[in-house]
Amino acid sequence: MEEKYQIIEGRYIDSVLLMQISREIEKMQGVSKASCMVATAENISFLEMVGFHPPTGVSANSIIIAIQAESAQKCEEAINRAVHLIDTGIVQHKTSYTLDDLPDLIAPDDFPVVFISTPGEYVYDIVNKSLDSGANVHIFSSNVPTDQELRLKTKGASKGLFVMGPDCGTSIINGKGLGFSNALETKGDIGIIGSSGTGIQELSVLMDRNGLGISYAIGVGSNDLKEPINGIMSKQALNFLKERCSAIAFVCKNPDPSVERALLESLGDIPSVFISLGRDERYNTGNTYVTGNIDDGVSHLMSKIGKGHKIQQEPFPKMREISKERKLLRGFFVGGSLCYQAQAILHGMGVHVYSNAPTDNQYKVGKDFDNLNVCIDTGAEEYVAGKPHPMIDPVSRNSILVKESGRTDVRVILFDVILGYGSAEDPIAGLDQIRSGPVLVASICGTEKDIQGYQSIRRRLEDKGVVVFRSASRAAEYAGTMMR
Amino acid sequence: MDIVEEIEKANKKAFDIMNRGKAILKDFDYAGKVIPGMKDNTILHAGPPIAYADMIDPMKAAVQGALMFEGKADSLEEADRMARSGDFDFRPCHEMNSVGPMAGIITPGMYVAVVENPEFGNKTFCNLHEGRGKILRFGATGKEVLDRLKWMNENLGPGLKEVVRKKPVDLKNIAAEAVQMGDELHQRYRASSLLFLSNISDNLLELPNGREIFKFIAEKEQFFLNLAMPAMKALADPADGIKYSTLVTRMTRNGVNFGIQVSGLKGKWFTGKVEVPVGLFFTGFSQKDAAGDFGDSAIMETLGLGGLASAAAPSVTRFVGGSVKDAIRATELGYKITYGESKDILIPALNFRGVPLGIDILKVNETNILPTINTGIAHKQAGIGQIGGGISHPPLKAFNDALKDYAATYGI
Amino acid sequence: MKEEKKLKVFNVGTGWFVKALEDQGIEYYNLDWSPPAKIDKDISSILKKLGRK
Repeated sequence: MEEKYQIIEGRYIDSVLLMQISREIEKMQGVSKASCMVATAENISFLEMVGFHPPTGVSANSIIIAIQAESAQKCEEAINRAVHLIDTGIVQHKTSYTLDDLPDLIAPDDFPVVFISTPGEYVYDIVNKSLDSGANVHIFSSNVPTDQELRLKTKGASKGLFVMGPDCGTSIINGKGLGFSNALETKGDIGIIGSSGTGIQELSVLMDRNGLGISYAIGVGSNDLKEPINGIMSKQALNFLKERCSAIAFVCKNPDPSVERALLESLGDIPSVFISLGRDERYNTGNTYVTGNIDDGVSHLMSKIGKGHKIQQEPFPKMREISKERKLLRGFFVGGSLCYQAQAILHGMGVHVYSNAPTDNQYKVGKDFDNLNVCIDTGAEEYVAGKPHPMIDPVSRNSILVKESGRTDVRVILFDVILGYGSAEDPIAGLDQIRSGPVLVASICGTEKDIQGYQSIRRRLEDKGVVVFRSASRAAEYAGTMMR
Repeated sequence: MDIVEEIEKANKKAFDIMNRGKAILKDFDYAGKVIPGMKDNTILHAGPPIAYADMIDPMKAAVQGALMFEGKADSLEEADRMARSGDFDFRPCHEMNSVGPMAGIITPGMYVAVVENPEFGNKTFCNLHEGRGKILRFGATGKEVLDRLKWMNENLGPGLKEVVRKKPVDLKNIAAEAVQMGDELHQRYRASSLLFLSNISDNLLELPNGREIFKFIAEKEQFFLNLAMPAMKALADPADGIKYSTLVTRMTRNGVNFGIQVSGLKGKWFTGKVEVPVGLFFTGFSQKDAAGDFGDSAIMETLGLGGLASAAAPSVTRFVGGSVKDAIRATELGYKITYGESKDILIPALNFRGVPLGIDILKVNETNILPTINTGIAHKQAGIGQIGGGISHPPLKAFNDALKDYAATYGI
Repeated sequence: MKEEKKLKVFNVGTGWFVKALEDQGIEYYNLDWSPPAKIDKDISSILKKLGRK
């Protein structure tokens, strides 16, 4: 063990800063003890007490650096670093921040977003603080009371700040995705406004594959287009996107008619599509195409901006023989919007499916649906209850699929696989034992660049006999044809 | 009778008393002589009531050292036996108009400072400051400690007695000036200690042993600690016992329990477990060596200094890796739980706003904000001394219990 | 077209989506947050009787 001492004259350094510097130096490799102190009599005694042998005759105003290390060289390095820290006066500040630090962390050229995923009961105060500090919010949390949502969105609107959500899974800001989002490749300036998370994801992925680049996707949460919220954030998003986008796509579910009217009017001239999932009608108003199907919406958007007329869809594989005993269609989804869209497609094809989140209330079902055609949203509250969301942990949904595939009365199994940031590392974990007794149909919502590896996921599914589509709508269509 | 109105009236009264009081250092003398009610077998200690057997090691050792200093025991073992025997009356300093830092052991033969709040005539007392390192208040009991205590009681005490009798010292004035110079008066005392020394130097240097005493005081960075504490208590005590008032008049710890007292609930202790302070350590020590929070020095925060005045001394937050912003935040949180602001003790960095004054148990209960206490950290073993500096808080339980008792007492 | 501002994210709550921010090179801060301490029911009722909160 070697010791070395350095005296610094003519400097005043705060004693607490010296303590901080001492602790920093002690972290260096090979240093066993380090002490930087003002060389008062008391402090010199202290140094002796802890085992140093400080030189005598040191002026009480000077600073003494005392080092004990495994070699003379390590002592030298420690002394040099201590002197450097004393000179620059910089020691790490706390690097943890709280909401109170927001005003100091936001620069004038920032688009600040506070991303909130706490339990819903705490969201109100966090959003309030964020808005007060001039930050937009993306509320991933659900279970935020509607009256709170209204107050927060009203406040946000008065400040020109976005309150995205609650229950908002996805947003895209200037090309970057927040929450569940996919690695999109196409650059562009199309804007999306969505009240549904997986709806935005599916829309963005299909647009991306077909040459439409997205700059913004504002998630307004499932209540925004209904009473009492009445589209506060949808309207604000529309105004925001009209200033910076060449085309706009809306994706939502059961909007209030008056809110829808106001939005359609507001869209005006800008090339746009308004996708109200499950809607039967298809029509044009102004420069907006209204539809109930995501793929249809993408096709029309493509034609409006001159990218060709239709979305490229994958062909159906050759039909195979299926036993007449197999009668049931069993769909289990992690994406609520994809479940909803699938139901509309299937009903339209005469396959009447029941659901825990039905498009038509006469087809509502509880926990007891063993002998029915179903499309179940496994991400709905009653299924999730305390467990991680199936997009984050799909194993429980996947084990249901495995069990169903062993049944002899099931004709078609339909499901979705969602890739991208935030989704599980392996979204098809637990599917190993799935058997293609029934026809297995899946859609993958993802891009070639997604972190899970689109091609390898696709191959693994196809190896198990799953018929895979890039589009959820197309998969539902195929499932419908297999029911005839 | 509108209880809400009564509370406001009572708090205003208590606050005004705390705010306008003065603390004049008038005398030094033997504790046994000047502390009312102090008997030959009285041993005062810091914190709320605690039996000797339950005390933490540093405090027990300080008791033993004090008994040796008093000549009542020849060894620590003998002192320990005597202390356990039931022959001594252990009382919290606060219950006898006194305060003591860390172990806060005061016995009859020790010199104490005498501070008076002239408008109300109340007096408070505190032992003499030993310095840093091996000292009785951290439970060191070796020959050097006892020798120093002897010297202090034969030189420092009597010397200061002469000096302040000639020219009493306005301690609140020094405190106010020192806060504007970067002291927060719980961890930082450099400016106040030097201001005090400067104030008494003329008369001190006239004494035959004046230079020796001068040198002793000049070397002690925290000398003013033992004067600031009784000064704050002198300001707080006349505000105690005001019917309906919800303001806190005492906060103190004994290493096991943290105790508070509330003006409208005179004489009652509300306690909870102490925290182990968190902070920055001297070479060779770490968090695992730290003792639970102890000492009467939380009287500083009770009057808006220390942690509540962090904005005046931002470097103190460095103990917990904080920045100037954190120091300001600690003071701003203080404003949320106090009745008002001091008219005399001002913080330059906050545009000379007065320190937060008059901790209100209602505000603490409704916000769950606890005052930050800037404190030294002691080794949990006796005699090693201060091992670092950092931050602690009172237990919320004490404030909850006080509110429940208040409701029962006043029939809410 | 307007000149776009730089996205800066402040994460409050689970750290599940932080990797997404890092992978996309988004400047972000994790904000320390813990649920506010619950106020005891008895305490709450006393405070209410005294006209607070």
